[in-house]
Amino acid sequence: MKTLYRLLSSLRFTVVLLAVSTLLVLLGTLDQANFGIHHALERYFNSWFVLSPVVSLLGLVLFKTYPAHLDWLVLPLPGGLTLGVLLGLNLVLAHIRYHKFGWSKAGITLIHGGLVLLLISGFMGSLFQKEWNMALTEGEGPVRHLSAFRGAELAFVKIADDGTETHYVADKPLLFAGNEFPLGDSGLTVTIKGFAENAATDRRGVLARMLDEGSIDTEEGGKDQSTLRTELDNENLLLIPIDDSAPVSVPSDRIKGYAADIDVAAIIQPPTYELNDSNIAAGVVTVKDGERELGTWLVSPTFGFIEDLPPQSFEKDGETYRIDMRFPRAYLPFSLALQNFVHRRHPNTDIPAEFASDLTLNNPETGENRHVRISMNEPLRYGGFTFYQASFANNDLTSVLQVVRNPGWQLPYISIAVIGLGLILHFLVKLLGFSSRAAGKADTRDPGAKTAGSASRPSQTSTKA
Amino acid sequence: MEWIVSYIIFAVIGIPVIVVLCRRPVSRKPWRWSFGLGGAALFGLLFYAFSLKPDEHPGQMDVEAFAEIPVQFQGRIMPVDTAARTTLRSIRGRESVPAPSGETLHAIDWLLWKMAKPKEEAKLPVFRIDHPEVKALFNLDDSRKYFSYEELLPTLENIRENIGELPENPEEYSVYEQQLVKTLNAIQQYNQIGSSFHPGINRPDINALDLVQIFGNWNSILRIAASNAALMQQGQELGEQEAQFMAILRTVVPLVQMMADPRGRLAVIPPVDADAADDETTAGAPWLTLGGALMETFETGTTYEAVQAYANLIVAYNQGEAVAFDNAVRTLHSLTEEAAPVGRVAFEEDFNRVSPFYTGTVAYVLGLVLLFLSWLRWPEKFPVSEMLRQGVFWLFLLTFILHSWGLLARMIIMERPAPVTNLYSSAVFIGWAACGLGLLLEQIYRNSFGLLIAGVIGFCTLIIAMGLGVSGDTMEAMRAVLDSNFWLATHVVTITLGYVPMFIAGVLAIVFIVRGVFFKGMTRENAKALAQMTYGILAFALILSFIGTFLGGVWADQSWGRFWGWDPKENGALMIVLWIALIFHARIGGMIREKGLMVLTIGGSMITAWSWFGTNQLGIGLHSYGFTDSGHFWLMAFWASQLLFVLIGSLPKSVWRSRETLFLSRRSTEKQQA
Repeated sequence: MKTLYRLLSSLRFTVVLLAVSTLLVLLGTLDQANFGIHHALERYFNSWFVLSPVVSLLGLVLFKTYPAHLDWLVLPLPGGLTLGVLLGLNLVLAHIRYHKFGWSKAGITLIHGGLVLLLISGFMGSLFQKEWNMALTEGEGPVRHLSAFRGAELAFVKIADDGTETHYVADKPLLFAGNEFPLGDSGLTVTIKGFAENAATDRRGVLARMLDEGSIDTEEGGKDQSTLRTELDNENLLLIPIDDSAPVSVPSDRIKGYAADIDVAAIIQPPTYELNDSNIAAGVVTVKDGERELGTWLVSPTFGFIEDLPPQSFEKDGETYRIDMRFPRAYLPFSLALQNFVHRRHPNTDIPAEFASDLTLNNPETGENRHVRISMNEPLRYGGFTFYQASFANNDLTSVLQVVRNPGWQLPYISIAVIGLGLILHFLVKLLGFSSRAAGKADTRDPGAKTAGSASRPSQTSTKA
Repeated sequence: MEWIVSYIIFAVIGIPVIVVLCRRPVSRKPWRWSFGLGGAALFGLLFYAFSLKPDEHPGQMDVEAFAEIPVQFQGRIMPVDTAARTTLRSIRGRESVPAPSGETLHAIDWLLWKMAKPKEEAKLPVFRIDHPEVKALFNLDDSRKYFSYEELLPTLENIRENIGELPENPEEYSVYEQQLVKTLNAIQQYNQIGSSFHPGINRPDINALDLVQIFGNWNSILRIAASNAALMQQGQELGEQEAQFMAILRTVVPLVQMMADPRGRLAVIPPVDADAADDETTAGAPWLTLGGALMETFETGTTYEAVQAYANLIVAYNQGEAVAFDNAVRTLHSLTEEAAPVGRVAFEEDFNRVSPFYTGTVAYVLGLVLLFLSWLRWPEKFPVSEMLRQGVFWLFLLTFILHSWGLLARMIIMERPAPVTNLYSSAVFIGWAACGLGLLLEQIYRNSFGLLIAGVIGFCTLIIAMGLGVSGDTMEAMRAVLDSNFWLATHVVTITLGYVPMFIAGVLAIVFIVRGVFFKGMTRENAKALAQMTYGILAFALILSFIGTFLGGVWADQSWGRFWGWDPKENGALMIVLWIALIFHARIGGMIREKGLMVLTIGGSMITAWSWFGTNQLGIGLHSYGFTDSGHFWLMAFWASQLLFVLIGSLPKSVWRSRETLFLSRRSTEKQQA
């Protein structure tokens, strides 16, 4: 136990941890370069352990290409979480072991205290932080839901005569080919004929053009272009893979919705991990009312962006059901309504000067009903969420907010303030003492000798112990 | 909240400088002081020659008063001089142009010529063209660099028509295409600023001065036109004179319409109601161009006194009538008083005249020359080296103060609490900080190394800034995105500032290793001094990299709600922080001595090169800005060279030529300690 304590609290251990951390950050950066940010986060930074294909990654630096055939040469490394825990532990233990209080050391204590806080905040961030976006359009009334950036959910929205909506939602775990499940109390049965986490979904003509341009990834599957083109021309095939697996085929008389009306189809794509690129799912869904089949639909969040088209829907017992594949939603306990989106330019130029959203915040729980303004510099922090002005669309009528929930968002600020204070204190103390010594001394002697001597104290302690 | 950090940065760098300088002991040797004073006097001389001495303008007119008239250009209100300087700088690369008489025309004189003597102005060599193929295209003499508009005009139309298709993405331009587009843009810019007042020589059928006179009498001309029109409506035939008058007006109105478009032109007429137009679509009231004001009069009957004043001013300058010119200038000042922040505009003009960064550049380079002189072998009797060092110290100290004033002045003019708003100011800021740091080092070590750092980095960054300033207004209106990402600017600067000491430390480490391995006679004292210096510089790099990383975090939090985004550039800065922390802990823990410190410091250089260039090479993330193959080559070359030094430094002590003085004596001291 004592040996373990000695090891964990030793400066040697600190140095090893720092070296491994540097290496991990380097390899993580390279991984990000090749596979995208989410991949790097998952494997390196938000993980406990990683097997890093170090040779291939270094090849990326040296030759600017990733030699994939060498990726079996892996280096096992502790992940970001492990390193964080160990560094924190080492820091605290080393302080217990070596530290004495005094003005000259106050700076160091502050720096390290801040670092512990920073590590904690990093953990809180990686464990609890969530992000969505929220689109609001002028004049379209209050919005309560947020949309995630990744993933998909399948929603059947029952619209009653008075306009109230009932959402039946199937989460991602239910979405796999062949799965059949009843839809809540609606009496409907849903069969997932096919589902892809990421797909290029559009009119067949557009997809053909994208194939020509090479903007559809076909390499990974290995299917050749001509086969793909033939399959794309077959109107029975709704979901077309780029590898050898069978396409989802539906007799054309059963196809309903956009696939029948405007001839859309989907080509399955490998999932992406890029920061600015979402996976856009696609699915083929058959709905039955008892034994009677109502039809088969191709669904995708992409359709949310096709304007001027009525949503895909069907009728059952005089009630309308809208079918929606969308990014997973979360609901706020309050609502926001966009009154006005402001987009100002510098006078006589097109240089944007300001983006801002004027909103009404309505919280039935607290009875609040007030005006709020979110601009590029000033996010709204409310109810544990932070709303940022992210983008706009639709001729300045739609404002897109980024919504983040991070319970520990203040922690980095506090910890950095502490560290900064510590650094300034420490170096001022050093500098003042140092420059006075340097000034007071004759030129022959080394001015830093005393500093170096006092700095090496821990090692002397350790040798004595 | 934002501005606090700027001031913290100022404080972190500024306060130690002040503190240390206050603690500088007064030398009892009078000659030291006299040379310090000499340096100060030299600075005074430079400051007078390049900053204070009033510019000479041709003619008797009060051009300086004209230079201060506020106009709106590129989205902000500025003295007309700034607009003139910006434009001339971007088309000619300099802020002045020689007149045929041999006089120097400053930017503002040039603008006056363009307004009032367009024919003479078209003969001035105001375009700088370097690329031989572009020169050939325009049929120009390849041995010259500067060309007049008149020389470009004959081929211009043809070139514009036959330019062919350029790549859509400007990054794919060849050097020739780049230079051609640059020249064409310069011509456009030139024509636009000129046509703020009249179409110049582009319409040989119309005399510019006549046109200006028409503008000046616009009200009465419109009145006559209206009565003529009334006559015509009644079915009456116009007299010959009247018909000619209407014909002229028919050619003039489309010109006025063209001149009304404010894009790229000077908006010189303040709006009637300065607050009215500050609405959802613009930030601040748009001013009108001369043409815009004329159109307003034409359409709504609103009259603008400033139009007449400008017309008077142009005619007076053309005729050389000083009194009329000065009167017009006075009128314009009083007419713009309400709409423009007069004090700020006047201050900006003072800033333009002082041009602190230009004077600073001269001072840095002069100081460097003196510093090199001080390293010559001077006879022992005369302490010339020390005297020169003293002189340069004071020269740089005063330059540092001027440099600081320049940064502060920019903040005041832009009404922004940040010293860094764009790439230009980041370079100025790096130079400022390096100068401060250099003076600090000099104060501590007194071996002219700090002065060298101050001079070299101060000079280089100001030259870089000048190069960047050529692209336009250095105090440009900030984009909303950048504005919100104000942090981005500060963060990039601090991160970049952090690179500087890392490389300096790397150089020291190489000096240490080369001296120790290849030469005899390096002593413990030398080693300790170098190590101490390296250690201090690394500490400085740690602070900067840390602040930079922090700013990046705040920026990310403000923009996307996450403090840390694992962006490659930020990872690079994090690696620097981790590495310096590693060096410090290894040293404190007694795991390394001077030699180990130096080897690890070179490793730090390699990591720094990676974060600076390597991450760009990856072409991902928010910071990736184009990286070329040659960049990759140089990065690899740099790494190879550094690795070589790491290997040399890791050679066993027995092969170090300085081993006897370096390592053996340490063992003996250790024995003594034991």
